[in-house]
Amino acid sequence: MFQTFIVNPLITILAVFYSLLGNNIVLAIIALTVIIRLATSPLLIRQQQATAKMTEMQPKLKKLQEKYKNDREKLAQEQMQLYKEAGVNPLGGCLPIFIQLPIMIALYQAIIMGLASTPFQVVDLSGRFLLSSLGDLVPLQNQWAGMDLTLAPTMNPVYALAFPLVVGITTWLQSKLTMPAPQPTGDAKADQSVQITQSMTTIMPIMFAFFSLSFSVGLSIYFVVSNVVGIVQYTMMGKADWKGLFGGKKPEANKALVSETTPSKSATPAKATSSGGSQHDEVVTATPRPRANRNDKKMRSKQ
Amino acid sequence: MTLKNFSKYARRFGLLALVMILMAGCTQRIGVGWANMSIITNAEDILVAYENDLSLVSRTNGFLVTQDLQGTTNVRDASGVWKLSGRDMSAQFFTAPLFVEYGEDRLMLVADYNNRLFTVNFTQACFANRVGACVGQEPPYIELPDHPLADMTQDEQRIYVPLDNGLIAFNKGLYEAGWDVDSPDERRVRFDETLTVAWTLETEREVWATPLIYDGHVYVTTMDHHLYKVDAETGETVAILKLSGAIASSPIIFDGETVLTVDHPFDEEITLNNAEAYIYIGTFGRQVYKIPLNFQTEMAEDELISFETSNWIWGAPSIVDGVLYVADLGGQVYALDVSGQEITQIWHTNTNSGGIRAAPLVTDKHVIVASREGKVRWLSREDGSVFTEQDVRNEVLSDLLFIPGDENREALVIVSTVNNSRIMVAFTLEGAPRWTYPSS
Repeated sequence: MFQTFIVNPLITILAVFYSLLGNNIVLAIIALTVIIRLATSPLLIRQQQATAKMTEMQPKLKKLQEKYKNDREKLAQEQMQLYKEAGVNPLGGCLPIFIQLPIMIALYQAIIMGLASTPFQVVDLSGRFLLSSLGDLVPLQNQWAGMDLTLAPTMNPVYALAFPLVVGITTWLQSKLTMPAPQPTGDAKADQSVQITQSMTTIMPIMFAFFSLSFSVGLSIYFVVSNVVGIVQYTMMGKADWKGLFGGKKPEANKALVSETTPSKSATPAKATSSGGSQHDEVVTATPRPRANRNDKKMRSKQ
Repeated sequence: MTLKNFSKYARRFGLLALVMILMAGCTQRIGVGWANMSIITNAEDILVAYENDLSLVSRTNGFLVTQDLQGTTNVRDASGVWKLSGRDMSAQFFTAPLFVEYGEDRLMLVADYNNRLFTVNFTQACFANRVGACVGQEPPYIELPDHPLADMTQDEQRIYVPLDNGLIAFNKGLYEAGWDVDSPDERRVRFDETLTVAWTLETEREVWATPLIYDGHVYVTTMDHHLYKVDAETGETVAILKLSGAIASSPIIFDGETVLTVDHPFDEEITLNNAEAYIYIGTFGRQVYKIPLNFQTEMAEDELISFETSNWIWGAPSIVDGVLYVADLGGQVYALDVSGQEITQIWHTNTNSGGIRAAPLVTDKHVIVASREGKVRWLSREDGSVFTEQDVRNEVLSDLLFIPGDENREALVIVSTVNNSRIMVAFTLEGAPRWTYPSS
């Protein structure tokens, strides 16, 4: 089912793009990645909205937790009532991710399978095109700029090794741009969370750069394009924190908003950003995805 | 809200790990090739090349052949069977070994997917050095420019190795049987003069089919949609023709009476009527082509005689009694009349299978096809109706192997699946099962 209804159509679209873009597989991968990211944008926006709503409710939830800390059943009831009154689905931030997740995995698979380079892979590809005439294109060109896109980057050519670096940089950039600077709260638990969040921003780029060393160059292209599109998307949504990119001061307005939306100590920016959709988005794209900047005025005004 | 109360960071790492596992795990097999079967030693045994192993299997019962293996270092069990493992050297074998005769000596060449050409002492089932002596570790090899994935072939002068980036021709070289036993170095030097590179043909994409050699020319089909006609002596391209779709099968030549395929022994003379001879090729572009033997580079595709099928053609066509049989990856089998100026359909059968990669095997009565869904079907040569079918339960991608019978033994059809526990299944020509290798 997954292969038939999601992966195979994506492989077909990849081949169509390949044909339309002068048999250039890199352009085809870029086009497909951009299209899929744009197509899933409404899900991303819904996810962000759900996250923002959840963030706004944090103080109330916190109060409920304190009030009913010895009565789990009552707590659950009150929480559900609160969600109901606010018109919030507590899993609203998760739903979009569960839709995006298979699409992103399918996209990954489509690229791997589309770049078929061994007889086994080509046989497998034969049954996947929805248009049999696309068979004329096979095998898709898997050489680009002297690199074999089906192989992991090697020393030949040496510049292929730049790909893991670029993947790491764009992953870091995306995480950094969309994660607000941590605000010390004095709450040990919250500060620990901030540290973990910060370390994620460091670990993820390294992790993906490492993956890129062992995955095919074609996939690295996908990672890079996906990251770049993500950055553009978040910038257009007003969620990219360009000012804070290199440790610059966060806008005062943001601070004000932080205190406004998270009056309790424990509802720190880091904690708030780690909830709901932002982390899911990170998972969806398989790259460290930016956290929602819950200080965003635009998003709040929508609620 | 259990999920919500769960550690957010553990969740994040967990989900990310899940995605990575799904990304890696959901991607289906990324293998290389499938088993290759060939007959050796006067149709007594079957040599199977698959992944790390070369195995010699008896046609009689499907058991590994037992040999006198004194001094052999590569036998993996104590039973003394003929089995050559490349595991220690990370060698993978997907092509049939080639036997080259040097006087009374017989040299077995084995191409490894990892760009190496080994010599093997067949008698002792071991990798050998250049003078045929078994070498337990780090045997010498000739480094190939790229991966070999199609069977090698030869003529009187040269050995041709298809590669992922073209074709390389080696000179067989001179080899004198009477060696000077007092100077072993002399023997080594003389031997090293063999297998020198004669020429190379570089292609844009892979050569996944054994080239056909005829009348001083090598006909090479490539995945970059081309048919090359190359001078066998110099390697110079005489003509090149662009066709619709990649070509993963070997060409065949038919002059109206005689068929020449890559299986024809090079030392058995064959004479074709060149004026009436055509090259037949199936492509991923869903076409069967009939191309004049003396084709020119300038020929446009629409000048060629062709027949359109429903899907990609991978297996080589077979011509028997003037009828061409071909199967495609859509599961269709065609019988085509190629005697006229057009290719016309005699019959066609939809096997409703997951596609047929292997070339059809034509016997006196039947056209035998094996599909990706694991079914082997015996079709009537007359009208394509299904005579019988057998379920081998696993995907079949390898070409079928026909082992002729004699007074004492029945002829067999060997089917190879991608399942390691059913590498070979033997049937009679009428479809009765005989044995399975490895035996269960």
